[in-house]
Amino acid sequence: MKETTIQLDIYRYRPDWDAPGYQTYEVPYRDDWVVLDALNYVKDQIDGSLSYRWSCRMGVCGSCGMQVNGEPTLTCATFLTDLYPGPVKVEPLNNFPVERDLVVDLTSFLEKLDHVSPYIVRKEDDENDLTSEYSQTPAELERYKQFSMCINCMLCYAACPVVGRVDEFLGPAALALAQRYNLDSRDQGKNQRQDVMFQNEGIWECTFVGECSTVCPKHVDPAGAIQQAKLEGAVDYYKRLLTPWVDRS
Amino acid sequence: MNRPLDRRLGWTWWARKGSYMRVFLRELSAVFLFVEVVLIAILFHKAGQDATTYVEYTNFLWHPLMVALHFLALAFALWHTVTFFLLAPSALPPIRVVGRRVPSFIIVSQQFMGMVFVSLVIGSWIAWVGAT
Repeated sequence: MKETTIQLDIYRYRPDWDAPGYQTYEVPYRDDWVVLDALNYVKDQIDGSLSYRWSCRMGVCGSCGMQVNGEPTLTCATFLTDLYPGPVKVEPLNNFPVERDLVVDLTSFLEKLDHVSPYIVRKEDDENDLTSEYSQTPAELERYKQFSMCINCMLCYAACPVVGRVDEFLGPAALALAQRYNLDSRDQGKNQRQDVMFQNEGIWECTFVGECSTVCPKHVDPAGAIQQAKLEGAVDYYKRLLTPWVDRS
Repeated sequence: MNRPLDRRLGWTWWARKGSYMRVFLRELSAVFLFVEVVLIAILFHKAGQDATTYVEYTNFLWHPLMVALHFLALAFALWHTVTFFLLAPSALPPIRVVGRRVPSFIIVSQQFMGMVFVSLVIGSWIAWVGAT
């Protein structure tokens, strides 16, 4: 009996090529396969030159994000059964430069992430040392927990049209992480992040398209984090304007 | 060394997806609302002048093309309002009442009820002024 197959149209690009193109592969169709399994089949059995990133295969590492039929998605969590009978178009994530085939250059994101100090910042005169316990109530944890689930898969950057148009925009994941630490009761670095978050290329560049939250595989809701930061920023601005004598350092 | 391939969005980005188009239309609504605000500001200015000038201007506002513009502006205003209200639960920090998070539909429906109430108050006031 002839084996059921499904067609993959995969974006191919080499830095020494003039233009990218698509290459078609027929792979076995199995209802327990995800798109990443199909790519691995191509790599192992048909064309070893295909390049793409992957690691954990369980939606944790965030490495295997790609455009599948035009939508940014984790290929390890996208089943072929949902795409049958195909063809399935696989492309690198939008809004990032392509290094090779399905591999994108994430340098710009890493630089932006660094700007927002995505870690707990304590004041220099902090009386506790690093081994001290910083207790937190469940309610305090709840304030930021949702925003801490980010796996840096970059699907939100691929879905955001502002990221695709404005190079300087910090982007959904970096801003959501900044807000996550601002909401953390153990953190004292809010003022340090303000300058970066509240610049034009920070939260105010976001036009609330909301696609970042739609595609997020971890339900982080970066769009919500950015809008909440906008609200806090506006309230903070008026507080400073009306009560300039209050020390908020 | 070859540079990575640049795949940034072009100026027709808004036509790529329904969600992009919806946001584009929401932002575009500002243009029509601005035009309507200018027309109303001119109306107030004309009201301070002689009656002929005022009537000429109101006749201009009743021109079929202008009426079409008013309806277009109304449609954009409603679109902006509805999409703005629907997004509000996501834009607000979690609101808790007696320790429980207020569901999104409560926040959305309260905004619509507020809009209907304010519209009724203003509408009633205009009708009252017109009658007296």
